[in-house]
Amino acid sequence: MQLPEQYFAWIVIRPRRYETDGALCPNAASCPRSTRGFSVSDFIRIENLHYTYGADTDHAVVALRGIDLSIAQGEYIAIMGHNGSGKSTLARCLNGLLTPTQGTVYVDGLNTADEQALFDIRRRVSMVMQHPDNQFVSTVVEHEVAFGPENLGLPRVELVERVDQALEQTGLINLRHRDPRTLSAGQKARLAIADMLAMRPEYLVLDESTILLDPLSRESIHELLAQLNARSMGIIHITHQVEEAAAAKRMIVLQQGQVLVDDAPLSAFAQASELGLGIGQPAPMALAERLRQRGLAIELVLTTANLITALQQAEALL
Amino acid sequence: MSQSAIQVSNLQHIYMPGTPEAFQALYDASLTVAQGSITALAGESGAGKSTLALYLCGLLRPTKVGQVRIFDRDMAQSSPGRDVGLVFQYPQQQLFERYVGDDIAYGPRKMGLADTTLTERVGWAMEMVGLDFEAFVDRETFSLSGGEMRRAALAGVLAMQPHILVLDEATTGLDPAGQSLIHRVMRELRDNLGTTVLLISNDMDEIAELADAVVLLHQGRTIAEGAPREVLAEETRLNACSLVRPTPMRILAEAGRAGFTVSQSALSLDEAEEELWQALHR
Repeated sequence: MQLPEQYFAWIVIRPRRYETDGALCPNAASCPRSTRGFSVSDFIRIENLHYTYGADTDHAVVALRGIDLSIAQGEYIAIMGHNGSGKSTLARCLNGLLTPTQGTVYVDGLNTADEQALFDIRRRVSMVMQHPDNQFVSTVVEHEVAFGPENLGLPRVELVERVDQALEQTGLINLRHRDPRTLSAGQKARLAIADMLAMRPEYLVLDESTILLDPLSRESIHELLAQLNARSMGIIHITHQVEEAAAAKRMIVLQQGQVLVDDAPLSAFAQASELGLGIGQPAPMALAERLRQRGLAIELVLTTANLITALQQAEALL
Repeated sequence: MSQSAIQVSNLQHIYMPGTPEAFQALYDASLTVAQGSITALAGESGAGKSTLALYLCGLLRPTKVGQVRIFDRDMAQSSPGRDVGLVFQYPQQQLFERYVGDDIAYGPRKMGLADTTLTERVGWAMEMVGLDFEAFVDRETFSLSGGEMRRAALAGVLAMQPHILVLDEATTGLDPAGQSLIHRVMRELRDNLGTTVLLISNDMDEIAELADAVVLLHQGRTIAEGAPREVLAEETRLNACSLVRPTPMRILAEAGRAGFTVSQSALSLDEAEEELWQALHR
């Protein structure tokens, strides 16, 4: 599904908010660690992030143990890791749904611990949850999508335009008058994405949002994500699906609340398998590795297309 | 052929009939699940899979059109009772006790188990799903991670040792280790206890690896029923249900298109590896 160009016209790279010469961080005084390897071009900057659930109680659960990440504008990042490795917690720290129990998260120069900044932060980083039912507020699909932008106080014309585009992009335009509760799981997941697109954020965070989709709907979401990213919208996709992670340009693997791998997918998968992190491998990569173990001189690859090329090269050498 | 555990014929279901919101989820659903088999039910989202599951566990009852028989009992007159255990799509929909141990014990307790037999049964179910008894029995259910909730929900159903287990997308959201654990549980139940498993799933690789038979549901109608190797090879029909062929088949199909001589019926990576190896050494 190739969408018309005008659907993406709204994605523009805005001038950096704090790109003034010399100043590393707008709150330099209150942010002593800001000089540690980060630059102003980071859109999201995570410094020594710790998060503990129920920190003051006797059943505290430590979810994140010291995460440092810098994320530029418009990246396409996959975050992988076991259940309980801290992926969802990390996602919730990105737009201030959770504030760090230690360390700092900056979004476009704004500190997520600053309550005054939360509105601006959430306009920049939108989150699609694991269970879309948890985030629906309306009984009509198009009202549901309009809810966010409506609260920005937009003129009606723009509101209607945003809703229409978001419904088109997610293939829900024909269901606009339905009640979200009567939608199938896959349609609900797409509606949750439409809600966020209507807010026109700079980063879209998906927390395993495609798990309930059937394979072709999932592929259509992947295409949509790729198109959005090609127009420089940032994507952070938390997933267990190796194929989804392989589609990203950068892959981060968490284990027990720490970043163990941070690299391009092909090499990230190789590192993860060497470290025995058990996150799986895309099938083409697994096949190449198996053939290699049987003595075939074949390159490691991520995609089927590359596997076929690698097989042809290997055959030529036989 | 072995006796059938579940037999559904020409089932219809309309949500909120007679209202402007009326929505027909099932038009003509039929399926037969052989006793002691793992049968997969696949179809696009919205095909009616979960609605069908509600009929199988007795939460919905066939009234006018269609028939549901479980172990040859007509569900219009009877109820599946403890024969069928259903694990929901959203595990938090079925965890309601404060502590994990109590939640898992709820079913067997209702069945009359008590004291050590009850504890043993809970321990067995937790062991099956890989939840450490000591570590989890007194955990509060709300403090569990998504994957742990799935396991706890599954354990609560296993603890009743139902003859038929219906899993509604039970492995979605689990990491690969969690998935292979649930796969192992399904095989063990089938092989050791003779449990019949109906696996509702859209994960074609999972179906290819596990299922003895596959049923395809499309817009509330059954459109195919048969052995995985046949049903999963029909690309056009699968695409109509918004499904795809299993990854090994798709990779081999690409290899075939690129001129390699390969059979395209592989269901597992092992088979695909062998095919490619042979093709390169022909």
